[in-house]
Formats: sequence, structure tokens, C-alpha cells
Amino acid sequence: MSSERRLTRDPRCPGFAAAPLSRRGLLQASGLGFGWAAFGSLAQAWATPTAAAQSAAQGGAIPPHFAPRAKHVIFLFMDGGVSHVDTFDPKPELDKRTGQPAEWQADTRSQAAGQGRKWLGSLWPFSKRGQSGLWVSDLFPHQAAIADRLCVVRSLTGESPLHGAQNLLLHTGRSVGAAPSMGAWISYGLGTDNENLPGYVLLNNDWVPNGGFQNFASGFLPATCQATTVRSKGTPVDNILAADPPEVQRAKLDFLRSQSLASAGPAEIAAVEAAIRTYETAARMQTTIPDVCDVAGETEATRRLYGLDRGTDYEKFYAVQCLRARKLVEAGVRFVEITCPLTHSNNAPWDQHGGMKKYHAENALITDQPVAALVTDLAQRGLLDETIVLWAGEMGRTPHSAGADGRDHHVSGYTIWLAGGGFKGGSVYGTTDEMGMGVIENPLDIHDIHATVMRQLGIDHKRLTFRFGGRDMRLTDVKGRVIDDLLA
Amino acid sequence: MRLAGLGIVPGLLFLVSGCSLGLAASPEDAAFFTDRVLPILQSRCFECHSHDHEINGGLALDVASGWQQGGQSGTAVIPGKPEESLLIAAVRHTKPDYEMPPDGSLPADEIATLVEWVARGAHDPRTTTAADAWEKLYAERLGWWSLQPVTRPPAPAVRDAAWPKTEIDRFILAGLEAQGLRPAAEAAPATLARRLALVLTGLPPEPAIAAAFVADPSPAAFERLVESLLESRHYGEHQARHWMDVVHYADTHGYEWDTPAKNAWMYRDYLVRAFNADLPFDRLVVEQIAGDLVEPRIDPNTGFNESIIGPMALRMGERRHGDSAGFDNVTEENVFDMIDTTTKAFLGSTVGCARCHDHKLDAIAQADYYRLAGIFLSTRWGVRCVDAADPNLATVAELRSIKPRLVAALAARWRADRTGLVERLGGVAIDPAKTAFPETLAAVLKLPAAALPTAAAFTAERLRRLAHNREHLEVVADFTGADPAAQGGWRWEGFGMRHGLVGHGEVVVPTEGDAAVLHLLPAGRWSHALSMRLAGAVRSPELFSRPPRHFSVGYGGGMKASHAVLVDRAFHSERLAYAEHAPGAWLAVTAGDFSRLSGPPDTRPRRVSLELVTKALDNYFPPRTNYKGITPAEERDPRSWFGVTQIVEHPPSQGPLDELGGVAAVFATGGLPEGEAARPAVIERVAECVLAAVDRWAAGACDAADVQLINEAIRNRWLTATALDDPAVAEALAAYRAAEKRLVPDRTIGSMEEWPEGQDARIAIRGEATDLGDLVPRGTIRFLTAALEDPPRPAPLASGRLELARSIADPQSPLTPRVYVNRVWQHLFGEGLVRTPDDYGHLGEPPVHGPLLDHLASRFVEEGWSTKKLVREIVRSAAWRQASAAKPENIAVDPENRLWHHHPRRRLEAEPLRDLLLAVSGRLDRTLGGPPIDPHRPKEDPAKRLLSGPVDGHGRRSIYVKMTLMEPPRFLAIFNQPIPRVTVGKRDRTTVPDQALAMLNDPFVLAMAEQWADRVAATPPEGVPAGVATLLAAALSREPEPAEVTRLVALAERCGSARGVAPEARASSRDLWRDVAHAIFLMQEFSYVE
Repeated sequence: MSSERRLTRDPRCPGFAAAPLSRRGLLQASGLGFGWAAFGSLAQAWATPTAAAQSAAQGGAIPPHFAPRAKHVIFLFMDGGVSHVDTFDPKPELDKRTGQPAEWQADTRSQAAGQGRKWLGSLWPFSKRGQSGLWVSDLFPHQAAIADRLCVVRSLTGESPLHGAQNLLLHTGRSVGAAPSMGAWISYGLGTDNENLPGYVLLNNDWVPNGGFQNFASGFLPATCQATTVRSKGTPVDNILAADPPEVQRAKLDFLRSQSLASAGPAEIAAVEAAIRTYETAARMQTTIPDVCDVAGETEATRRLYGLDRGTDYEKFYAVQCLRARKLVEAGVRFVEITCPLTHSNNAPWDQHGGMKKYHAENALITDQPVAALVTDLAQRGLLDETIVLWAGEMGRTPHSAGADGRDHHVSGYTIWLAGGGFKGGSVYGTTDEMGMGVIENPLDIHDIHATVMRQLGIDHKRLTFRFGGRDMRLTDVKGRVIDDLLA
Repeated sequence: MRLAGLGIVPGLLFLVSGCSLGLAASPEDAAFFTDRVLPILQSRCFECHSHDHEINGGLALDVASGWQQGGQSGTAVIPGKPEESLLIAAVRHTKPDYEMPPDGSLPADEIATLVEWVARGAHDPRTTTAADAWEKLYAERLGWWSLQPVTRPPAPAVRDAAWPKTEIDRFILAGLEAQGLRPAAEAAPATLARRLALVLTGLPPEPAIAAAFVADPSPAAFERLVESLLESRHYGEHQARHWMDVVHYADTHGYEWDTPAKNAWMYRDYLVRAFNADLPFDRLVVEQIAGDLVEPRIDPNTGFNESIIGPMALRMGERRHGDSAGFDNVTEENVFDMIDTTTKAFLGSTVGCARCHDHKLDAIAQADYYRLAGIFLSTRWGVRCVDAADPNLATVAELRSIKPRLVAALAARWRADRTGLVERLGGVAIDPAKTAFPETLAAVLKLPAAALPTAAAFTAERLRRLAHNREHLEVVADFTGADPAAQGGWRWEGFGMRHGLVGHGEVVVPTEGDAAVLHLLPAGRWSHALSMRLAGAVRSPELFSRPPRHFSVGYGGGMKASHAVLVDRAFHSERLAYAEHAPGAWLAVTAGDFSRLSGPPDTRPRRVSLELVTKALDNYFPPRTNYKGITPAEERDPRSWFGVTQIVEHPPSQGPLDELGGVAAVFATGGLPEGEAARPAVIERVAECVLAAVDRWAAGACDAADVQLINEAIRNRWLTATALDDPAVAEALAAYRAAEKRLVPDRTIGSMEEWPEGQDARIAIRGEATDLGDLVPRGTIRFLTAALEDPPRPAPLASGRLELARSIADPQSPLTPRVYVNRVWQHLFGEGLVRTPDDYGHLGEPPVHGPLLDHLASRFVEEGWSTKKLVREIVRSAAWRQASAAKPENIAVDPENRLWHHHPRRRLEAEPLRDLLLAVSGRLDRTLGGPPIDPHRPKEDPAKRLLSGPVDGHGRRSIYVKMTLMEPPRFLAIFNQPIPRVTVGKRDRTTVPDQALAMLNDPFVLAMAEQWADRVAATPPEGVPAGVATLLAAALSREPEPAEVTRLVALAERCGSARGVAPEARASSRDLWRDVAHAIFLMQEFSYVE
């Protein structure tokens, strides 16, 4: 459905691009399913139509800003902050100085430098992996095996070492407030290829991360751009299982149709029909969504690849969610996000101020194999080229510690990776200093990643805007650069 | 121009402009600029680099000073040196990331002109400055329609004089007639009754009232119906809910732990009362911004000072824990939210846009934002007591009358038990290792004889300590008397403190357990002098903390009373401790100097204040779950206590020394007997001292030393007294406890507080809290003061918040009445006259019916800002009473119904939809007010206090479902209830499959169908058709048509067959009625306002 693209003009910081769509066309188009998400409130947001907008409203396509390289994003959210110096950013000098007092210039973006802190070398040994010789530690043996597909960025920086702020920044480009999630933006900008499925799906593992559901919300974008939550256990989506036997539900829907049409005046008929279609779409979703969430039909090889039959529920369900991510992408969903489960009493799954050896290892056990399997599976099915896989937490962890087994919050230099979708596999971008404290080369912030991901999807991050509160808002706020060096 | 990279080097600026001035300019140079250069700049650059548009990268090219100063990336032009000028590099596209204009190169001749201009010395004859440029713009922008005074346009003439019922109708009809349109017919009476009830109260009409209205065609019947709905207590609930969107009401603050918003629900109930009482809106404005600063408005039923509840409005939203000294921007984000909400809610103005720069389109300078920031940064965001009248005076008198009996009984009991006392003192074993100077009786008893000081040694030590204290301690606040002047600007609050001023020896009675006395109090102010359920706060004035200042508070406290250092108006300070201290302890607190985290150091110290509070007055209680080990039981326990005697300031490490008062009596007369054999004599001496103190206490003549000594004896159980020991003690104790239970604890809510410590704020350059510019005098937005004849002016040290409130509520404010009247119109009509209810600036939509808006706004003000009058006037109009069916010919001319040729048909908002399901099914509990009910959740998260409540919310209206910011109520969210993070004057209205799925399968909807079916099946109707007709009528508040009954009967038959219900059993089948009820819920008409 190309006609729901609505890419507005140059936002010029908070600028004010002209209005793209007419209210009238929008009202006629509303209610057609998830793909038509934006219309209701776009109509409210914009008043003066332009020629291009009218053409869009009348069904003409607004082309993407660039030729898209990818169509989907899968975001593997490593909530709580994976330690960069224990995974993808080896620091021999740090290892050497383990136990020595950590003296370093204070940086408000790294927690608790100073008194009584000691350097703490990597808790897991590193090796060069694959053809590319990418460094990956033993914490992630499966990701190590797909090293040649990973585009590792070691130079991410954030704003402040706080989970709530950084989660929101990572998801919405703002560390506070009510901005839409990148999944919502991408779903808004590109719609979905399947009107029976939402554009943005959150594969949750029973966990509300810091910052709350705002991380997955549509903010000022139309409500339909927010994530639809698919739970790992039990009924995958709220209200998705039909309460009635099929013939009873059919009888009710037929009654709804005949009653609504009988009472509608000529001016209301289009809106009534749209509402009826919404019900019909919903009825279909009662089978399509459970079907796409059902992994029973997968081959034994696939089950083994993802580790569907592994030991604990945490491991099994994370694997199920990764497998579902592939299925959702196959079915046309634009943006899929997977959260980590919280296995122990803590503020966030990867937030190990202590007990790293136990819990970082446990989190790795849960996520490593399915994450690698997902990349491998996508590649085997020819989907990796058109799917960006983003592996990121909201922060890294301090290279120093007050104990032997814990690290604190750190956003002055940390690591994420991307794969597929035209990102350069087996590559490393950016450099932190010898201790892993700060970025000394090619610093990036999350807006740059957002901008680059959007670029690969054919979107100019400066031009995908939505007017709200007197500004044309965008995911990257007033920041963001496309980083060509990350691209193959 | 996006010139990333280096910041400006201030030193260079001067040099550059100096250079420029240094080259002599000829008239030819000036002409060259004006004729050749300026047109290029205008056509190519101004769109992104001028005061009229954007100043991207900080570079303005519409004033000479703009390029002279350069932008974020440094100097733009070096006169005479084109090769070194960034501007030239940018237009030549020779520097990566600096290609300008970004969408293509300039023609070569234009580049050549610019190069020549720079080479010739960059002469720029323009004399306007950035400030001039802004003033010119400001003056132009001040001409915008919404900033003009509200006028009273006469109602226009119309051709069809019969149609108008009110003046509104003449405006509307004139508009329609001008387009050759005719209004719709009046809606059917049943439709009007349902529409009125849903729009005014958010609930369907009572069947009897609707029927009476349908039966009575007289005009008076309509008026009566309107009046009865305006008088309904549910009217206030529904209107309050609309306003709650505007202030983005939530019961929690979200972020990482979804911390509770302190008793926010009391504010929700306050709104309900205010709308029901038709509080004049100008007063509601003032109360929500500055209710703590105006004369109390007392609710006759609750005795609350309503006004002080108002400021909770501006505290709503996400609030982080910690402070700006721990993490940049914590307070600044709160202030942004307050400014954004205040200006959008009341003024429809986007002052929030000016946080980083002058407004792009409206008459709002960046300075306006920081004028308001100065006001809110000079405001404290504390918890306040709500009770205006003290409901406890009789009980307090009774408690006080019991205490002397208890004291007498205790003293008698202790005197009588001298033998026991001596025996227990004797049980304290000598500790040979003890050598330290004894400060307590226990220490005296434990000291080996050889280590006991002589009387002379004791006196010497005592004098040394007294001298130390005299030398180093300065009393900054004295709470031992009632004189406020002695309190050094410190303030107390709460019933506990009000009744807590005591002299030495006040007895504190435990409310449970065997013991009859907890401890005695030294003179001071103690929140628990009567009961630990009464609240108390003691707050310091602003402490100028550079260099750090050191205080010791004569203190005692427990049961999670806290003391906190508040830095930069921290909302949820975590420089906070809950410590258990016996009365008489010294609590050391340092008002530290907190330097900036990043950016250059500020020349002013951060604002620091101290706050000592019981739970009820603690902004951060309960704190995030399990913070500092607080248990759920401790959260629920209403008890908490502390008190203060004196607050002293002293040099670092020179805090108060114990003056040995507690043991002085022991050494008073010639010291202690020496030698092992003398131990019995030592014990005797101690016992004597204790009992002498008891005597003085019983006689009402004890001093601080006696209190210390008796408290030690009580703490060590040398003096014991329980109800079990003594009937007189038992009687007094029982009487006291019985009376204590009758005390009403303080009702408290998050609000604001004014201190005479107003300070101006600095402009944050580009909105960066770490990059500070000039101080801006705090005050009201300039366009607002410009509109007022006599703008209120604050006192020198006042925050200016009251004056801000009064300016907004001024009858001359051009925006306040327009914005509010439009909100009310929108709630009644589904759309506003202005369709961007939160933005009356250039990005908003001007109204089609501007004169009508002004007509209503001016009358609204003249007639006393009465919402009910306004509502009455609007719903009485023929325009409002039109049918919702639109004529195709009208739609063809005016598809968006901007001329109001029919009443807009619309889906109910989330809350009335849920309430309607409750009402129709018979589950609605009409109780008003009270703490919120947890929403139903598929999965709880107790660590975030995201708890689950019953599916039907106990039948309570949606307004009482807990709005947890972190994960708002799911069912309501599906139907577009906004996430309460920002002002929402107009909700999204989507029609999406999630909603259809909810109506088909949500447990709440199914439960309501079930509930209804149970009622129907309990007294089965006479046949399915009769039953179906009854249900339809109940759901739609109208008589069903035969065809509708037929369709629904057919549905019932299909469901009955599918479920295998025998035809004769159907009329009494619960399953069948559940399907019928459910099918009715799915009907469009059910969930729509027609």
C-alpha cells in the first residue's frame, strides 16, 4: 500500500513544512486497517493541503525519499546495558590494569568514577572471529559465529547514564517527554505490507522497561503507529482469541453490518462502511495473528537453530520471539522489536552493578543463540538483505568497578551492532580509548543510527516529519547524520 | 546552514567585528552590498538564517552582527579573506558537511559576488541589530488575530428569523445563508435527551427522565432536562475528565519506577467539585497556577482549602528522581513541562517552542520562556496540608487533659518502685574496658571506679564543652518557643506541628503495645506530641551554599520521617535519609555547594534548601519501590514522626558537643564516692538523680537535662510503666488511646509553596541547560502584559507566580476566555470553533466563526466566567439541537462542517464508552471520588507498582481508574485515551481493528454482557422479541423500530441455534441474552453520540 506514505518536506529544525494531506481525502480513507493508521489525526494536524498532498489523498503515491535498500527492521533491545568491554570492545590495557585504582577524568556520562573504584578487565576472553577477524568475547559464542555479518559500532554516546532517559533516547530520540518510538515513525512513514498485521510489533517478554510504554508508543503520531504487543507466553495478543464460536461471531458481525447500514444516512455511509471493514479486519486478525505467532509448523532444524527446546522458559520463549520476528517480517511487518526477559529482581535485565558473571552469562545464554539464529535464518531465506537487524541496549557499563563482579552505567562510549539491510558485515566503526571510557574516534549518537537506519529504508530522516505543538517533529529532533561508513 | 563542529570562540568575535570596522567603507561598498549581496542573502540564505525564519546553526544573515558573530561552527566571514571564510567555503561546496545551500549550488556569478564582497572587506551598511530585528518582528506578530482584544460583535442579521433560538444561532445561520445552505432539522427528542446526558454527564439518561422529556413537547421540558443534568453530580465528573486531558492528569510520575504523584486523586476530586459548583473559571485558573498564594476557598462539606489543591495541575507528568546536581536537566525538564502546560492549557500558546530560540512564527521571544522559567524556578514544589479548618480541636483538648493524669500516675508508679529501680541499675555490669568520659548514666555505671572522673574533672570537662558550643554554634532557628521571629525564616506545617509546641518533659504516648510512655520530649516543636498520625514539616529558607554550610538540627525522628537536601528545586530528591533518632540527638546536615556538571561554572550557587518531613508531607513518599529498604507495610502505616528544638550553624567539624546535662546531677555534689566498695553508693546516687528528675517532671518543672536523664532510664527500662503494672496508668493510657483514634490525620497533596527567594533565570543557549546566557527578569509573557491595562507587578522577592496567574485570568487577556470557551464548545459539539484548541498561534487554525467566538468569550467574562451558563447557552441553541444526519448538498459545499450545518456525529470517548457499558449492564457504581482503582492488567509488575485491579474496576466510573503513567489503563488507551504526558486539548479519533477486537473479545466487554444477561435471565421476558425490544430501548435510550427488533431477533435465533439452545428455552437463556447484549454493544449507535 504505497498510498499511505506521507513524507513531508524539509523540516528545517523545528520548521514548518506545508500540509501534505487534505482532511476530506483522509476521512474517506480512514478505518481501513493498520496500514491506514495515520489518517484520522493527520486530518486534525494539518489544515492547508498542497498539491502533492491532495494527490496522495487521492491515492497517488509519494515516492520514498531514496531508493530503499531495506524494508524491515528487527530491533533486539538489550535492556539495562550490556558491558561493551566484555563483549565487542576488547581492552588489553584495561585487562592489564585490573585491580589498579581507576583514575580518569570525570565524565557526567559515566557513573561513579572516582573514589574507591578499580579497573576491572574483561570477565570473558576475546578472540578474533570469522574471515573479518572481528573481536567478539566468549560471552557470545553464537554471535561470534556470525561475526562476518555484524557491523559493530563501538562509539555510541548518550546523554546521561540513566536507564529511563537512555531508553527513551534510544527509542524516541528524546530523553524525556512524549515523543514517538522509532518503530512508530517507521510504521508511520512506510505503513505495512499486510493490512491484517500492524506496522510495529513488540515481541515482549513480560516486562515493562524503564521509561515505560512510552518507549513503544506513538506519541503525537496516530495511535495506530504504536507497537502491538505480542506476549511470549499464553495468548500472544490481547483480545485476539475469538470469544465466540465462529458462527456466533459471524451472526453478530452480520447484525452489525445490516443494522449500521440501515440506519446510516447518505452522508455517513462511507464512514459506516469503513467501521464495518474495521470489524472484518479484526475478525480476520483473529486467525492471521495467532497463525503468524504459531511456531509449531517449523522444521526440526529451525527449532534447533533457534534453540526452541532449550532448558528454561526464559530461553525457550526468547527463542520463540526471535523466530516470530522472522515470521512477522516475512508477513510484511515493518518494525519488530524484541525485549529481554528479566530473570531476577533488578531494575533491568542487563543492569549488573554486581553479579555480572552470573547474570550477564544468564542473559547471554537466553539471547545469544536465538539472536544469531535469527540473523542466520534471515540470511538463509534471502531476507537479511532487506531486513536491518539492530542489536542495542541503552548504555554500556563502566570499565571500572567498586567490586569484582559488577559495573555501573556508562554512556560516554559503548557498543551496538547492526546486520543486514546494507550494513557492512564484519566491520568495526569508532574507537574508544585504551580503557573503554570514552570515544576517541568517530563518536556517534543514537540519532545518527536512527538517521542511517531510516536512510536504508528510503527515508530522509529530516523529511519524515509530523507537526505537533507548533513544530514539525522528527525522530532525530534537530540532530542525526547518515553514516555512510557503516554501509556496504 | 548546518555548520557542525566547533563552538564559537568568544574572543574571536570581538576581533572579527573590530576588523570589519577597521576597513574604511566607501559609498560604493555600501551600494555593492545593498544592490548585489543583500539580494543573494535574501533569496538564498534567509529561509534558514534570519530572524524571520530560522537561525540554523546559530547563524543569522539578516543583520550585520549575525555574520560578524558567526554561528555554532565559528566565524562565518573574515573580511578581506574569502579563502578563510566559512561562508565562502560553504557556498563553494568545498568543505564536507558545510555545503550551502544544502539542496544545490548557487550560480557561479552569485558565488563570485559573495567572494568579491568578502575580498573587498565585507562591508555591511545595515545598522539594525538582532534586537531591532526581533522588535520589528514582535510588533508585526502582535497583530495576530488571537492577540487582539476580545470584542463583542453584534449578532448578524439573518433571513430566516424563525430558526434562531439564541444569538449563537444568528451567527451560525448567517454563515450558512451566505453559502446558500440550510441547517439540519432539530434532532428527535429521544436523540436530544441521550445526546444531552452523554455530553453533559458522560452517562446515558435515566430512562424515566428521558421518557418524560419525550412525552412533553413544551420548550420548558428541554430547559428542565438541561437543568437537571447540570445539577447532576455526574456533570462535574465528566467536565473534570475533559480538563484532566489538558493538564495531562496521571496518578503517577512514570519514568523508571512509576512513583506515585502525591495524592493526585484529591486534585481530580477537587476538579469534580469545582465543576459541579460552577467555580468561576478565572478563579480556577488562579488556583491551578497559584492556589497556595490566594485567600483560601473553603469547601463547606470537606473543610478543605480548595485553592491549595489547584497547583497539583502543573505537577503532572513524568518526573525523574534525583536532581540537577546529580544529572543535568532534571529540574529544567520539569519546568519545561510546567511552562508548556500552562501556556497551552490557558493561552493556547506554544511558549514551549521558545525554549531554544525565539518563536519561529509567534510573538514569543526566547526571553519569554525564561521569564516564566524564573517564576517556576523560584517556586517550591512541596506537599501541602489541605485542611483549612482543624477538625481535631476538641480531641486535642481532650488528649491534653488526659496527659497530666498519665504523668501523675507514671511519676507515682516510678517513685513507688524505687527498689526495683535500684535493682535494675545494679544489673548494669562494670565494663573494665571502659575509659571514655561518661556522657550517659549507663556509661557512669559501666565505668570502673578508677576511671570515674572527679567532680573537678567533670566540671572542667563540662565547662570546656560549654565553651566550645558557645564559641562555635550560632542558633539560626529556635523552635522552643512560639515566636516566628526566632525561627530565622524556617517554616513549619501540619497538624502535628501546630499542636506540637511543647516545653521540657512532654510525654509521648505509644498508640499500641504495653508501654505507657515512649519518651519525653525536650522543648521544641514535635509532630508526634499528640499522635504519630499527625503530619509535620519543617523547611529551611534558601541556603546560600557557597561555600558549603554546616548545620546541626536538634532533632528526633522515626517511622520513616525523612530529612532531605533539595537542590535546584528537586522534585523527588534522593539526597534524602530516613533515620531513627531519639529526641535530643543532633542531626548534622550540610548545605553543600553543588557545582555544575558540565559546561562552564555558574557564577551563582545552586539553590539549596533543607526539608524535614513526616510521610504525609514528604513529596517522595512512598518513594520508588523498596527505596532504602522501605517495605510495603511501612508505606501503608500512617505513622511517622519528628521534631526540632534548635537549629545551629557551625564551622565544619565543630558541631555541638554533648553538654553532659544527662549526668551532671550525678557529679554535682562533690563527685562520686571512690573505690570498688563504693559501687552501691554510685548506684544509689544515680537512682536519686533519676527520681529527683522524676519529681521535678511531675511538678512541671523539669529541664532539658532531666528529660535526657529520664529518657535514658526509660530507654534502658530502668523506669518501666505499663498498663499491666498500675490501674491509674492503665486508665489514663486507655483514655488517651481511645481519644487518639478519633484524630483526623492531615489531608495532604502535592502542591507548591512560595518563599521570598525569587531569582531570575538565565537563558539557556539553544535550550542547553549547561550553556547559560543572560539573566532574564522573571515575569509574565510579554504579549500578555502588553494586552493588560494594569499588569500586576510582583514584590521584589516574590516568584511572580501569582502575578502570572492573575495576568492569565485577567478579563483583558485576549486568549484565556477564547481558549476556554472554545474548549467547552468542542466538548459539546465534538469540534471546536478553533480546531487547534491548544494553538492559537500562526500554526493553529483561525476560526471560521471568529465573531461568534468573541461573542461567547466576551459574554463569558462579563457574566462571571461561569461554565454552566456557557454550556446552557450553547446547548439551548438551535445549532446544537440539529440532527446529526448531514444533507449531501451541505456536505458538498462544506465537507468539514465548519459552518455547523448539522450536529457532528461522533464516537464516545473512552471513558463514557466504558461508563456506558457499566451503566447499561447494571454494574455502574455511582460513588463519587476517592483513591483510584488499579486498572485490570494481564501482567502485574509489583516492582513498578503496576498492580492489577478487577476487570470491571468495581463498577466505578472510568475517571476513578488509576492513571499509571508508565502503563496506562489498557482498555481506555485502545479507545484513544491519551498517554498523559503532554497537554492534549483534542484527542485522536481513530477507528482501528484494536478497538473492534476489544469490543469483540475484551474481558471487560464480555463481563458487561454477562452482567446484563444475568439480570435479564433472572426475570425472563415474555418471548425473545419483547426482551430484545426492552434491551434495545435501554441501550439506545429510545424506542426501537420494528425492523431493528426483527434484525436483533434474527441474531438471537442464529446465536440460539448455534449454541444449541432450544427455541422454547431461549427467552430465559442466559447465553442467548449474553449474545444479544454483546451484539447491542457492537452497534454503531450504541457507542456514538448522535
